[in-house]
Amino acid sequence: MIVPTLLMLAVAVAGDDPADANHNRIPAFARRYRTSCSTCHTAAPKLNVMGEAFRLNGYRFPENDALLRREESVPLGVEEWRDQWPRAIWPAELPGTVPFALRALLDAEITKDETSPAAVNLRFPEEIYLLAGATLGGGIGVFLETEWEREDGLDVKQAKVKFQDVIGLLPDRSLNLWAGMQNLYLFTFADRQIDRAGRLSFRWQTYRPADIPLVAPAGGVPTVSENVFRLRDTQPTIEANGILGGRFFYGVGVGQGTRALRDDNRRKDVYYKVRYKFGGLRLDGRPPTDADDMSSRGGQLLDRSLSIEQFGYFGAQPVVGGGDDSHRAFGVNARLLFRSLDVGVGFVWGRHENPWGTDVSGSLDYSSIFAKAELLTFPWLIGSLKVERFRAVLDDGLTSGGYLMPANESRVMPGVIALLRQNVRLVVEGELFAEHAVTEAVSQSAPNAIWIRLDLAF
Amino acid sequence: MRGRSILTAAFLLPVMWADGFAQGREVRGTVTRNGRALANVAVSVVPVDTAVPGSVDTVEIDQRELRFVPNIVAVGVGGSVMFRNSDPYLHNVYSPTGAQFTLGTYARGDTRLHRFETPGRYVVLCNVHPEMVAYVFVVSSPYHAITDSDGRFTVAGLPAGGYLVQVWLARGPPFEQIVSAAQVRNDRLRIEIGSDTGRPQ
Repeated sequence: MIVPTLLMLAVAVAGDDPADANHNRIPAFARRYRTSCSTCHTAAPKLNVMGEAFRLNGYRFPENDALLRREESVPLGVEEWRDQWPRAIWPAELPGTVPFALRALLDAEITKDETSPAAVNLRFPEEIYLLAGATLGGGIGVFLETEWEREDGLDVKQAKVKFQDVIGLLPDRSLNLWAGMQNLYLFTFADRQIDRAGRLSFRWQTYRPADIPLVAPAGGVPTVSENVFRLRDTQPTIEANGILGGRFFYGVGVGQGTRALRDDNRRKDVYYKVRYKFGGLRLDGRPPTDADDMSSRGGQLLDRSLSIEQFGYFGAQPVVGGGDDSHRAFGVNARLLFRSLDVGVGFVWGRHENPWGTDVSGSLDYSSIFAKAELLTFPWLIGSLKVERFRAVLDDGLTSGGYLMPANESRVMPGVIALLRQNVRLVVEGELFAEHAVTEAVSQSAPNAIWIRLDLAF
Repeated sequence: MRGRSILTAAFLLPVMWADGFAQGREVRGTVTRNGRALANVAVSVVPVDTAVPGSVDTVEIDQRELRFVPNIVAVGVGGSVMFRNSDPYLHNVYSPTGAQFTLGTYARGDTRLHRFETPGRYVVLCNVHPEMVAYVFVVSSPYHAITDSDGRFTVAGLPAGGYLVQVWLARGPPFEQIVSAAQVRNDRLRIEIGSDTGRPQ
């Protein structure tokens, strides 16, 4: 009953005249350029290769951006003032209209365990986003993401400014500076914001030591870490990045390590990320030399490429006793785009040196091997399969002392993503556990679930 | 003064008449629907008393600033359209209608030529940018035009006789009207198409 209801709702919202569907579309960037979602998205928010080039270029199309804009900007001083600097203020521009957009997520969760009947939770709405994106002229781009969640209320997830090409003498796009509350995008592959066709994230992105208590030996009191750091969370960061040779991307950043206004320790977190793309559209948005690397189908731009990404993150979080839990993580992935097929595999390893502070002395390693395959069956229909095997391993001292950290899990996430319209996405995704140590530790069945999500942007 | 004008007219008339024969007849008209001018519709004029010659014309459609320019063209059967990409982005050209074709995805500066052998209306899309659309009307006559912003058109070089005037819109079957040689000679045609013409079917 739910699926037909959601389908009917989506149809009612989006209208039924295909001629009208070409106008007044979706969020801020689409309005500015009067272009479709699929110019930049495979299934929003999942970016296609052009969308990724647009993002890396500070929310501008890689070439002739001004010519493509359908919306008149408001000049803050004419271009001739540039020649007067430093005797005058450098000119800028404002978007012609306030560049806001809304996104609403409606979720239905269906769970079933071995001991009770199926439960259906209608999370209507689950989340609502207020998004804004604009360029201010002179290579400055801004992005705002405010999220309202049923459980956590209102929060500014991202508020960042991108200074592109900060040193004019260097080659184009080779050195940019991004600052603000921002997503680190350690991997673009499977990132929850720019490469998520489905709903579910991988555990390595959401894992934090505080989630699962350390089980003490012989029925002792479990110990809970105070470290709530997650690799996927946004945080105040200053990042330098750039594209070299059109195909190599680098980024290095310094972050607060926490979303709080005041840093919670005296150490700043640091990270790096690199990516190389073989074939396909270049990272700077320029076409490849081999014309066969690019194709298109039913409104979707398709790529033929292989990308390799690697990141490292080094941080510290305060824990019980006044000390820090030094932690680090490394990851590598390979991703193949072959026309309608998007497939990749990755590995992430991390270590927390002291997650329980003075409560329990010892370290914790975790690792995740994960893979994702998405097939564009039709230009509006994606079949998706994700798998992950997550492991958390205590150091030898804790293990021999009888401590236990039941964080291991293995799961399969099959899904179907349908674009009911360019800006209306329906996701049906299952979460099936082959192993779920936390629930198994208390003799319960794994929390298998089916998620149905309706995602609207306008 | 008046005598001089009459003299001039008397001298020029035979010249114009002869020129008209050499260049062929001309059909001028206005297309309206419910009394309102229709711009950017294709008009083809098919001679009904003489054989229709084949067409070898080639027109160009540019892909510029995420648009097809122009986005409405007419060619006779056997005519061709050259599709050029002037944008710094990849574009594609394909038509899902009629005798379907796809010209692939190509970069700035490239051109692709397609010859249209079958009459009809062709919707031309870009697989990369769904907001882009062009219409190619392949008509069974080399005599055709696109109406201007006031709905007016002029088709020249026609053989003598009566004509079938067809008006092609983005949707639906073409509107057709037989016009006589006398109508063509005397007046600017006023072609009022049915209110259902060009509406979604």
